[in-house]
Amino acid sequence: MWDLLIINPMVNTLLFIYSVIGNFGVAIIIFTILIRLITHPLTVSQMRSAQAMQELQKSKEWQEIQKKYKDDKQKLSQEQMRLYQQMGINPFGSCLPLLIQFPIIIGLYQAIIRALATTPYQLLELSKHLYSFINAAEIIPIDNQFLWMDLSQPERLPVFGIGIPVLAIIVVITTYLQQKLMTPPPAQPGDQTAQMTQMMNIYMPLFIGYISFTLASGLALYFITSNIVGIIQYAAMGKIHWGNLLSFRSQSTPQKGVGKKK
Amino acid sequence: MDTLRYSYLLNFVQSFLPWNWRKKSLAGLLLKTALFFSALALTACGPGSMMSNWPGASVENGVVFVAYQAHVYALRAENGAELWRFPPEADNRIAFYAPPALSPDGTQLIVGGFNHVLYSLNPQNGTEQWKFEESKYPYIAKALITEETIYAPTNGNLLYALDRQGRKRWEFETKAPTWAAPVYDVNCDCVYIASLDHVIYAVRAKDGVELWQTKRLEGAIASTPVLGENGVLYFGTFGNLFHAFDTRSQVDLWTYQTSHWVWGSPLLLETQVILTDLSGAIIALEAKSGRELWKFVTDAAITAAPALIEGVIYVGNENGNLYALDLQGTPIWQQPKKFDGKILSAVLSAERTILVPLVAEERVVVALNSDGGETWSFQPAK
Repeated sequence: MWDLLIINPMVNTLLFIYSVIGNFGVAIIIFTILIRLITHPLTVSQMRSAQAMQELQKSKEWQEIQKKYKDDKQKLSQEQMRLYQQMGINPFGSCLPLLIQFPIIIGLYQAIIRALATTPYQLLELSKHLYSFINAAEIIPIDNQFLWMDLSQPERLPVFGIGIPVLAIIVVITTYLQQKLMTPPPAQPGDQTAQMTQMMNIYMPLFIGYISFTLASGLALYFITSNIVGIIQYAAMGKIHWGNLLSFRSQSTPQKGVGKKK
Repeated sequence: MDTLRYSYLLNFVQSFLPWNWRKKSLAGLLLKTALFFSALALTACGPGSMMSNWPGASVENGVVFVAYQAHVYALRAENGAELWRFPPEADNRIAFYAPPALSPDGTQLIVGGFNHVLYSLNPQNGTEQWKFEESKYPYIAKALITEETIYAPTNGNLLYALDRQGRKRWEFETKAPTWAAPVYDVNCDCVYIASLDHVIYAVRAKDGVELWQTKRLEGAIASTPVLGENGVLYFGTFGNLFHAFDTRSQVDLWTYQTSHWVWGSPLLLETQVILTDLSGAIIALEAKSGRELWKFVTDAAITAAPALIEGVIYVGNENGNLYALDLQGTPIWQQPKKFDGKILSAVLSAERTILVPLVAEERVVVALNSDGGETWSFQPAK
């Protein structure tokens, strides 16, 4: 089912773009942009839910119940749920679009690796999942060279005999930038959520960077494109928090006037 | 899940943290869960790891050499006893799938690894004699060894010609990886290289100078062509076409349209050529004209070359079914013999034993007698 609904359409779309463009690196970039555009409504929905949640957490009523029931966690969560219902907010509303996007990201990675098919076994598997409109005989094997990279291998740019993982570094930077620019200032600085956000802002770029450092560089190309498109999407909606870039302590101190809101 | 990789990842993350995040805390738990599932999804749930492939096997002088996963194994063909394995201890940076090749004088076993290294092993005890480490790419194809030279194609775009001591003599560049073993032609003192780049090259054996190349064919060539005594190369492509190509005039004598990709090498008999394709078909053609003599369709894709053992054609398929046909294409067994895995490599023979390499959970090679009864099987000791 996973193959039928996610992987096969992705692999065939990717190969179709490649058959037209003739460059797998460019095909990955175009395909990533396409996926980001298709999932744009989810991104918008996620952002709106996050914003509504943010506003709720800044409200007087919310602050009051935090103080009032600080020693009674059960009552606190009951009151929080009541407020969610009252305001018509789904507390998981900002998570759900993310959860839906997660299989797409995983599927995209698998599609890239499957389409590259660098071993006989992988190519045999690929041969079973090709749609009839793909002229497989003509395009196989996929040319996995893009700029200085072999898209099926981890990337290193040799500089004076040392392999520099340029793509992994760019992935870390763009992931960090994306997270910083897209994360609204916390409503409750110093609380557990804010600490988690701060931690994820640091460790997720490192984690994604590690993945890019060790796995096929086609994936790193996807991460970079996806990050840049994500930033552009948020910028186009006027939701970029430029102020976050200026301060590493922005998550632990109250912010005023940061973030441009429509 | 690659536990080693996950563990390395956890240590990597920990090295950046000022506190021990593995201790019980909500933040640590959430981060750890996210890391685990992301690593799982990205590294293990894919279409198989980069290492996935099928066993490469060959038989020489009553010894079966099998390259599969972490080792090259030498087995006694008569009873499957393990004579040696290389390397003696598994090293997770090394994996082997290229069929090992024995030198004509029997002194060297050449096998390429996924770690980009070509090894010369002592066929008697599996000790390393030398290694060639210049390649940037893994080895998938079997090497060709002549009296003076070793020709080793890579999964990149280079073929290396080495002397018998492992020193590079020359290299030849193709436009794509090569999965087929080169073929030596004594008449032109040249080697034919069939590449995934849709081209067959004729290259002078002594210095690697290209003599000619075919036009770009309709599809990639994944398997080793067979050279007839008349200078005709028989091979199939992923473009659903099988060729009888005259190397002297460099034109096709005939072609035959198949219904799917041709992956395995053909079997050339006196007057027939037997080929297989991914539709599961076994087809016999008249070698001279390409006229179809008979066709037998199995129930799954065939990637392996047919094997002729004591007048019987043996072919295995992806469903793990082994078929035995006579030279008229009539099945000898009422039912194909079913194995607990996929048969993607060619069946081999050692004297009267039929050897079936498997892609399976446990068994790597199964030996049969001519009635199809199992005589032994090899399951590597952990």
